[in-house]
Amino acid sequence: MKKINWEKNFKLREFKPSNDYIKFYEKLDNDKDKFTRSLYFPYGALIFLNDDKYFSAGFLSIVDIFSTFSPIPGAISVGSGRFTNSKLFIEKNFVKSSHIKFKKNMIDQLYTVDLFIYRKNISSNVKLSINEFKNFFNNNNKFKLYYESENILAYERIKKNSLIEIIEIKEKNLNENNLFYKLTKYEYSDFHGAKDKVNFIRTNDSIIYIEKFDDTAKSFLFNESYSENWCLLYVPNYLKYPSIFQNLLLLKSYFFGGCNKKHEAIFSYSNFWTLNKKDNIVLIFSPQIGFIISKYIYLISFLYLTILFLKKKLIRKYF
Amino acid sequence: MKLKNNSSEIITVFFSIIIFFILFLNLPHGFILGGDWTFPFSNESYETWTNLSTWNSKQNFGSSSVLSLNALYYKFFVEILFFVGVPLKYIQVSIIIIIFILGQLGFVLFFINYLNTRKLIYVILINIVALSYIFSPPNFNFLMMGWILGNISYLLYPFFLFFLFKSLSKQQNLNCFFAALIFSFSIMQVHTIAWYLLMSLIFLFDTRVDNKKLILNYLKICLITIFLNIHWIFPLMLDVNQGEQVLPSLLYKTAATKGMDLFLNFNQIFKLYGSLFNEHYETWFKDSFSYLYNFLAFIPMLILLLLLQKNKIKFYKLVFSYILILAISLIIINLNKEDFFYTFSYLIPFRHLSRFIIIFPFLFSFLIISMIFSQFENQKKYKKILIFSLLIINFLNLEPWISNIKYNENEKN
Repeated sequence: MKKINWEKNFKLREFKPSNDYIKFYEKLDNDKDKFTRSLYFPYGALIFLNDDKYFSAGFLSIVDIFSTFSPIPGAISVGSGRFTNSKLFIEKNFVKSSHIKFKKNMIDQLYTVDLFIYRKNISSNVKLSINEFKNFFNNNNKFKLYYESENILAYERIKKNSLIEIIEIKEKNLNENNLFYKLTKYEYSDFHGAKDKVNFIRTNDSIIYIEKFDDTAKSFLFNESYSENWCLLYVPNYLKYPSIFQNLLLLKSYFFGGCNKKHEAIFSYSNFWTLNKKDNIVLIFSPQIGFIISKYIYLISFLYLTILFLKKKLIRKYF
Repeated sequence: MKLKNNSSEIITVFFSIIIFFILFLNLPHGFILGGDWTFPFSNESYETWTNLSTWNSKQNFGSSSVLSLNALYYKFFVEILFFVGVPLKYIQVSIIIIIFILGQLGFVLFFINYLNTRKLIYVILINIVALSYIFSPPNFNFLMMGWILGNISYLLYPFFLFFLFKSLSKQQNLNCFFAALIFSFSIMQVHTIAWYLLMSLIFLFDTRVDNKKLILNYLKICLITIFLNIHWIFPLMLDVNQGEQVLPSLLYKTAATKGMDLFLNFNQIFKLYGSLFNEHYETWFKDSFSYLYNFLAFIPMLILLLLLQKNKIKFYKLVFSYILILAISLIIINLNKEDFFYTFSYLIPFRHLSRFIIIFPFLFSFLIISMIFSQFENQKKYKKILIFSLLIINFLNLEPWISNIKYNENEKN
């Protein structure tokens, strides 16, 4: 009998998305401004589709495109966490060398997650049954059913937290040198009810604009992974101009005004600033400045080459 | 004369049509997923996927995505296809077919120009070798795993070389620009920097080539390529974690790095195999040809050696020696991999050594065509037989591409 190493018995496979996933994504896209973050169960970098024999087990895994390309951010993957300071939080609560059993108390710790999604036809190394998932939310007055179909079950948080909030914490209380202590010194739940939401415009993942907020508190909380690269700028008149000039204003503020230096890590993975002013705030991931500069250089070069080309053509034609 | 020119174009298009049908009939007609393949499956997920930003809020409560900006040209390519109306589910297949045909066209164009021939018989023979170049074992393994950027880099190389050589004779700046454009597109697969350099280096010893000009134009291409990649180079310069992004200090110790090159040995290199730990091509080739598969892979090498032995052009012998030196170097580095990457930590992005097998099919194809060109019209009949045997045996490489590229309905239990 011929022996075949089954792990190498591998061919290209076609994926046929089911209708309820398509409809669910349409609904998510319509509602995306309502939510900050979601969490897809079962999570993991690689998943299996129980109802499709070509993606069902062993080496026939699939990259979790559902959570990665979700209109509402929601993927957890330890493999891709090399450049984030939420890595410690993920390793402690989700997965390190092996998966950590998801517990109910995590739901409160995941304060920016306001949509919990269970995929019934998907499995991964995370062992969380549909009944365990349901038990988290049944009789839980903080949540309500958001969507249910053959393959999907989702609950939404009724009182949602915000990506950006104002909070009262004294700067000197965070004056630790060690990042780990900064991140773990306070629990978000300790400040429950003491925070105010802020309206913002998110141009893309790297740029967020806050026109102004009225609050006596001076501490500004941004609930995405802490990174030294996050920069808080003051950009007056930002909204008055079209985007091509908005970017010029960003460059001016970045190079001449500079970032707010009172930037710290807090609440397991979030960013925290002590503010001087309360209007025309732009949060920008510093490398984005480089991306903006490159776009201007490409544009200028393209225009220059086009003019050069046209000039050459015209000279040839008329002279 | 005109008829002759048209004939070579018609025959090349005919081979392009063959490639189209091989792929169109055998690739899955829908979203390709599994392995490392990723692609958006709906319009909403497509919107998310096309978003280009230095920060990615989608995963792990947000993380830096500066390096992902180097996929700009690929995303642009996908967006063009989407814009002209290709349905989302057919975009992956369209890209595969387009780049494979570009691979064949680039290969044929390069050799027609390099050998300065438009003789019909040679164009046919070049097209036959082009088939075995684009349908090579490493290319199969990359495609199976979903390393489409590796496929793009590999298949665009002949076009890169075509423009590099063109720049030596005419329209220097324009041809360097086109070569840099291809380099920029290919550099999305970071290994391209080393692959293209290693594949091109040998031409410095070609007596027909102006060495100084070749080096200068290569440098010029590199500079233009840097300019065409400032969209990720500038952001990287402003990233406080730039060192860790480009040269992650501990990656040479990971299980993936160690495991990836388990099957990298001379046997694999000279069969052009082992480009991946997973050995998909090897599995199917063995499955189809049983014990014959070893001979089918080694006989072309023996024929090449026989043909080389009597060849008067020293450069071709030098190419073979170069292949040997590269193979030996790869094996030696692999034996001391951990120490090597600890010492030369700036080479960590190239730590998966078995991916370098992808440079050999071009060098071998170059030798095969050179043998054909220099010896086909030789009076000795046995050499013609050897050349035809070489082509036919290489042609058998296509078998897994036709029989085992996708699962047939109900094939998998």
